[in-house]
Amino acid sequence: MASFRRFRPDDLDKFSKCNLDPLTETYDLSFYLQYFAKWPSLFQVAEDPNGNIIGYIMGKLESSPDYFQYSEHYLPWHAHITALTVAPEARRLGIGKILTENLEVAAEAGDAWFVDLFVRKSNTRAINFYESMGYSVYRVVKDYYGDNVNDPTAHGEDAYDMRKPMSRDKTLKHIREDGRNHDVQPEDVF
Amino acid sequence: MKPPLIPPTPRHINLKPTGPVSLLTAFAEEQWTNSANLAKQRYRTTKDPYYLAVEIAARSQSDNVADRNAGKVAVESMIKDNVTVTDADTLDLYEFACARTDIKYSETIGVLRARLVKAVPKDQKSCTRCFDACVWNSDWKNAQQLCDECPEASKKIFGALAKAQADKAFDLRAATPGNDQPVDRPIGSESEAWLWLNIRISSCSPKENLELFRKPEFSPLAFLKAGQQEPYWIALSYLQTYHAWEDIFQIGKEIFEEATRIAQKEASAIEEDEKVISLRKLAETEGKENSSVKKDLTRAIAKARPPRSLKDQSYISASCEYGLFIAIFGAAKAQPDKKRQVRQLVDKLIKALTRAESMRPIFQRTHDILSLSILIARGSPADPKSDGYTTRVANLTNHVVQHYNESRCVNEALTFISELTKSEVIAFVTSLCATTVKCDDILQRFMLTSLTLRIRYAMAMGAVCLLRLAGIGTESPPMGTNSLYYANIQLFLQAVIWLDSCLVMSPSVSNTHRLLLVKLYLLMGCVSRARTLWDRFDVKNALLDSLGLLFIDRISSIAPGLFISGPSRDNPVQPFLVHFTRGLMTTIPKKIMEALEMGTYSSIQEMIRHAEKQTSSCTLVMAVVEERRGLRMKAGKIEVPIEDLPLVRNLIPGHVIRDNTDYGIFAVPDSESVQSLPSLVHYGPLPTGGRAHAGLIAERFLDLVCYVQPKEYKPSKAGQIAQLDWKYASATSSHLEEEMRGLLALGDKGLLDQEKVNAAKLRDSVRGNYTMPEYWYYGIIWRLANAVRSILGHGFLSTSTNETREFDRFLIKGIINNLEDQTQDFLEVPENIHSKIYAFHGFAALHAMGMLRESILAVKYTTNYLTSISEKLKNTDKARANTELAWLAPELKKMNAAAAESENKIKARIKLLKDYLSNVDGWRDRLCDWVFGDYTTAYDKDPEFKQEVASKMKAVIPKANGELWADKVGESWRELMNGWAAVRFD
Repeated sequence: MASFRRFRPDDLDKFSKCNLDPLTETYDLSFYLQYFAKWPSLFQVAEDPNGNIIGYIMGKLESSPDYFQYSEHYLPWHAHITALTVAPEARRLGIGKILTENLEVAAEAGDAWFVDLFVRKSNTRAINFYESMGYSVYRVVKDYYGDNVNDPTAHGEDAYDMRKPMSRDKTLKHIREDGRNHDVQPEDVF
Repeated sequence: MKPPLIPPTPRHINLKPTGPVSLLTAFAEEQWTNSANLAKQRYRTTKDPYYLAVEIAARSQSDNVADRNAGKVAVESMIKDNVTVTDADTLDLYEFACARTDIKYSETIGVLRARLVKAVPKDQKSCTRCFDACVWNSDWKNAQQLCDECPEASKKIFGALAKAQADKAFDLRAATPGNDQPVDRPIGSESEAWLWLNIRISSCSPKENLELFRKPEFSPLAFLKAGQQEPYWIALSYLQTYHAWEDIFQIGKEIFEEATRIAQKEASAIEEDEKVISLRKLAETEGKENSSVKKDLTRAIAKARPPRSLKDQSYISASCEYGLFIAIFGAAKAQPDKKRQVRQLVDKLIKALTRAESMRPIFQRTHDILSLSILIARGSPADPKSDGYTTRVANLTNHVVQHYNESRCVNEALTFISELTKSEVIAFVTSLCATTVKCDDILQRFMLTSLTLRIRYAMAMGAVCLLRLAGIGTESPPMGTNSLYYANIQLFLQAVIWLDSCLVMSPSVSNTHRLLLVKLYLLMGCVSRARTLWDRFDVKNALLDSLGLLFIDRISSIAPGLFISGPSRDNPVQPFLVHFTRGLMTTIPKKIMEALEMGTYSSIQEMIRHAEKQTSSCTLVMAVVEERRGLRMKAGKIEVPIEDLPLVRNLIPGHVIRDNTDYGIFAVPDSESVQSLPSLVHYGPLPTGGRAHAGLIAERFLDLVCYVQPKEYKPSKAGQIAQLDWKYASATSSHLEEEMRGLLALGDKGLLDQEKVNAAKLRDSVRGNYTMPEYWYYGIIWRLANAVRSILGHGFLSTSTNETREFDRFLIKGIINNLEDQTQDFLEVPENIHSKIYAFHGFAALHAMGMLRESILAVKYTTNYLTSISEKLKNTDKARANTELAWLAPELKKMNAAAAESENKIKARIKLLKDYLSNVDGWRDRLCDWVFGDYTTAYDKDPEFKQEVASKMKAVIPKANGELWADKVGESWRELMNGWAAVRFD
């Protein structure tokens, strides 16, 4: 059982079910408050009946800075999913999907062209999850992650930059069918 | 009463580049004396008030009290003389100059900011800077003044004005744009609507608000239709709070009906889509396992689904919300005639959503759980004499069997189990076992077996059960150190080794399991072992406030070594202080300004609320107190007084301080009849605001008696200055005595008999917030403050009499008795400790040793203080000193002797424990023997049971694992005692 609503700073005191999971990073207060201060509608939580936060999604609405505008990698106004996590005990109930959908609604309201995110190339479960929700790979960011979970001796791991078009992108000009064949370097990514 | 917000970090100052380079350099390099002199010279030549401000700003950075307050004095005089500063740079300097003093910004600098804006309204840059400064300093009153430039009189009706403005803006929502005439700006965004609602709710009566929410244009549904989910929830929750059940029912009805209509429309479109039809046929013939067909079908359904409008999406989302379910079920409960209707509405919706392939697992689960809870609540509990097989048991068994492969299943089952009777619980477990045996599917059988075991484990609560059997928490320890005082140590150790073995064999155990072990290791003094396990949680940054106290509470008194070795910044509470300082003094003001820039007003309110919560957090206060205690263990005295710590300097006992700890991490259901698990395994009573305040008062008292005047300070009228100092010390100690007396509910002088009975009751309940050693310690601080107050009053500030001297002797006697009793308690070995395991008590009683050491130091510092002021009196007024103080010196000697006696006892204990750890042969065998051996006696309760547990433990835990565990425990104790050996007593 869960309620879905916007994040409130006091929720940080109820984050333990999500953040004690070793794969979920706990950031400094300023990191969470930055999202809450600037894009409150893109920071959503799932709360169980006891007030514990059992999932949350953080996102932002932005475009590349002006000095990037002549670059082929320039990103127009879009929403970006920064973090999505669901507490281990609340997985497989579709909470991640609802949180993502809620963020997409906020992205639509914010007139975004698309929603994007980065995911490890090896994280097939997450990739399948996003694909089932209409996301597709737009490009591959080489060595994006500093570490390589599958091979510690190798360079960083590649990331997939995945996107889902919003209704503003009627001609799907910001989506690629063959995104897996487009490699970019980390410095090309905003 | 809420504590005031912690003042923000002073904003960075850059001097105007037009000034002399020497001054710019000196100021930038923080050479304050040099800067002040250079600025003074510059002011003399230019008469530019800017340089006067620079001089004051530089002087204010000095540690000299007069210079430090220079900014405050200058600003207060400008306010009084109605001066208007028209240069924003100058005002920035005054703000900087006042940053280290306690001023009310809104009544001082804020007023000067407002005056500047009124004087030069066209200077937009300066106006913006002033506005930003007010926001940074949480001066909303003047920030609002700067925005609206409203007249002085309107300050009084600020609240009403804000509401009226918000109402007006909200009404303008429907105003047609394009009008040439400038109109006031309407409320448009969700954030603005949220802000408006919050203003309404806080400033209007429930009657007014309920009437408003009943109007169609202000109904929760109006927000929902506009896609404004949060305002919709705020309004709906408000109706729920005020039990407006008919309104809730109507709103819920409309949402369910509309969502059903939308889902039905979508279902028809999907069912008529040719691709969907053909893929469904294909899926039927090829079987459901064909994942590519399944994927294609999912895509085709998504494509065939008509796009949802914002309103439709909002209705569908709202209809599946747990919160709405709870609200409408609440409405149905209050209006029994609606129950049937609610059920029909929900069933219809589920049908429609399933048909439209929009049914979400979480919604389905919510529905299942609520239905099950209704069935369990309605069903009659089993007759105590029956076998317990009731309809409730059958329903719960069916639920578990149906959801066996879902991770929440155990927790859900446990929630319902707490509502069953004992015979029903037995029936449930038996019935689950029977179902498992009958299962054909191997996986299902395996999963159900595992589930049954997990449920049985959780019900018996494994190690928790052993802890309870061990007697932890059954009685509050009268003179002990922690909840182990009355416990059966062998059962306790068995619980520890059991949990540890599980962790070794399966490192991915639950967080509760690991946390439990952390707490048990802390209880038995294995701090390094506890820390290793705790560090794996990686509790840091934003989690520190909610989880930190689970590890750091009372840590300095148990393990001073954590503060002694390595640089101070590595001590365990440093990250907390960084977190609170950065969060409250920089992050929140900064983020509030960002939210203002982005127009996300609702975020501002929430951030201020969060700042208030953090300001009054037990974690914050405990971290400050723990650090100071820890540093005292390392270095004796502390240089920085509480008054110089912005995080706590403004806290007074009237301020409510709360424990923000998230005890939800102990995911073990507790029965109401027994002590909760968090308090059972915590080292002493859980944190409270009272204990936090007592810690701060004790620190303030130690600051008072440890203060040493700088040697270079040589006032011309030494006698007069000394009198002033004593007056200050007398007033401060009197104040601290009063505060501590209030907190500990001490003293019943002058009360009537019944009042005395009530006071005793209150004292007993207050006592429950402290461990006994803490209670002794705070008691001694109270007595010391009382003695300082009285001795100063009757010997230093006025002439003493036989009577006053007798009274002071009596107070000193009380202090000595208190210290002796505390020492006696520390030395006492509880009766439950078997002679072979006396050493265990020593390790488990370290907190008592830590608090005794604090008491010893407090007594020593106080005698030093009284000795030093006696010397001063001798130097300034020898004749008077001879007659007045002849009696005091022997009394102080007695106090010192008592402190030295207690100190020796601690040192002897440290030596004993250290020797024990290093000299005893066969340490490992001895520890294993404690755990697995037979220590039952003829007087034991249930000796057979204890023997059986010990033999089963021996059978289950391999010998090698037991020995390894014993080695780790021994190593951890050794490390702990090394820390204790380095503790200072001066």
